[in-house]
Amino acid sequence: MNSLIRGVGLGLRQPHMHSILESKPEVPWFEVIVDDYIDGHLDLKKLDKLRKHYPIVCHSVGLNLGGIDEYDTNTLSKFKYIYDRFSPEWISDHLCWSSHNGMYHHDLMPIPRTTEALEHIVRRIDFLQNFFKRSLVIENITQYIRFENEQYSENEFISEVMNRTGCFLLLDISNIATNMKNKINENYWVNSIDVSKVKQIHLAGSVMSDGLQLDTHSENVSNADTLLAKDFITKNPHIPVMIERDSNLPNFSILNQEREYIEKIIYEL
Amino acid sequence: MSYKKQISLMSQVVFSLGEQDRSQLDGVVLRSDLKNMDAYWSNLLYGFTSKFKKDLQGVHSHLGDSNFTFLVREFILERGLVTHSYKLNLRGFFEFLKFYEQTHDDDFLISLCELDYFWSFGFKDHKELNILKEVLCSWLGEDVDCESSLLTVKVNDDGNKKELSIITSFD
Repeated sequence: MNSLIRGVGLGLRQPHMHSILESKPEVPWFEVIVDDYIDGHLDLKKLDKLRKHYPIVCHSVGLNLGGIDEYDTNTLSKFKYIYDRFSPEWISDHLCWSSHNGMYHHDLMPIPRTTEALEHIVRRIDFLQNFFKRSLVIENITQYIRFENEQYSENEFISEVMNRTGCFLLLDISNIATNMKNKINENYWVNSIDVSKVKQIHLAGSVMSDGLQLDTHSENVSNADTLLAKDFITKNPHIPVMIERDSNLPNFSILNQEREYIEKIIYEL
Repeated sequence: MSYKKQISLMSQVVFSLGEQDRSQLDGVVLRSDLKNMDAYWSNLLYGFTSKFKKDLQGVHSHLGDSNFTFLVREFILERGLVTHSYKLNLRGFFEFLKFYEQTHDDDFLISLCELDYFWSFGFKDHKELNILKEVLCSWLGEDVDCESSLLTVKVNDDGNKKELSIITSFD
């Protein structure tokens, strides 16, 4: 309840870094993609400057929670270095697998929701939480396929992972809405989740292509998704919201205008 | 089927970029959703192609969109994406061009790619790059009669403005 992460924040994107450091816009907080800093081509000193002015949370796409490949502690140490240096309020990644047998998909690959998968992922999350000495926050993904012989619904599986590991949830409302549009999951399950476990909301824009709604993060957030977030936040006002934009990136002031617009709708400012 | 086997099969099918029969996933993925596997290989190919286009603008402009996409596809099929690092994958594409049978003897293309990479990331590791004047002219989009002289270039980047400058010329 005393978190500095409140209201509607933005995902930090490198093309905006200079503008943010120059003008220090009124954005309550930023979400930083840690993977971008792991291979050393981004400037950590700029992130130091940003951190002096803004609270942050750390997000990633590469922890491969559902993967089979053994963790490389050298790589994990780089993640831990970033977490320790920047003291984010929390760290998050997706409930998915993203690499296999040394090949990196650079995508969020879906997990068959079976007991075997559940036990495997619980072991991986336990390992990571011990390694990082922090709780993880896991995010529900958009997926385009369903598996045969699944034993859990999406919310049952997520709840079970959280119960067994003590991790938290980054609730991506746009991903749930996208899965519903694609008839991957017809259950809008946010009301059946333990809200005390929800740390953060994600919202993002998507596009329709060849009959599938694709989670591209390339468009403004739809009004429908914003209203879903408003409904959730009305009941749970302490949970912060973040807007994800990764491609077709507008300049920072335009993105911040969208943030302000969504903030006004959600909080009726 | 074990969890590991399910993941392995999915990974193989996605990295085949549609060349492997998706019916291999029969019994793993719901039959009605098999067609949606296209979304995963499309994300992989076009996701990387669109990022590479931004960082390899000289190569993209020289080859045109369909040839460029073809080479990215060949790169993924032959080499795969063996690192989480975008920068190293971009470097890997440059290395791939030096060995791929259809490009290995195209010195102009390889030099253009080297200059693109230098402009995008390489200047942080190496202060200077030697390049033929005709390659620089193509990269700059200058329609002038460029002779084949050797230049040394560097990138100045203060975090706000980035520019390429010629520091020596061997005419």
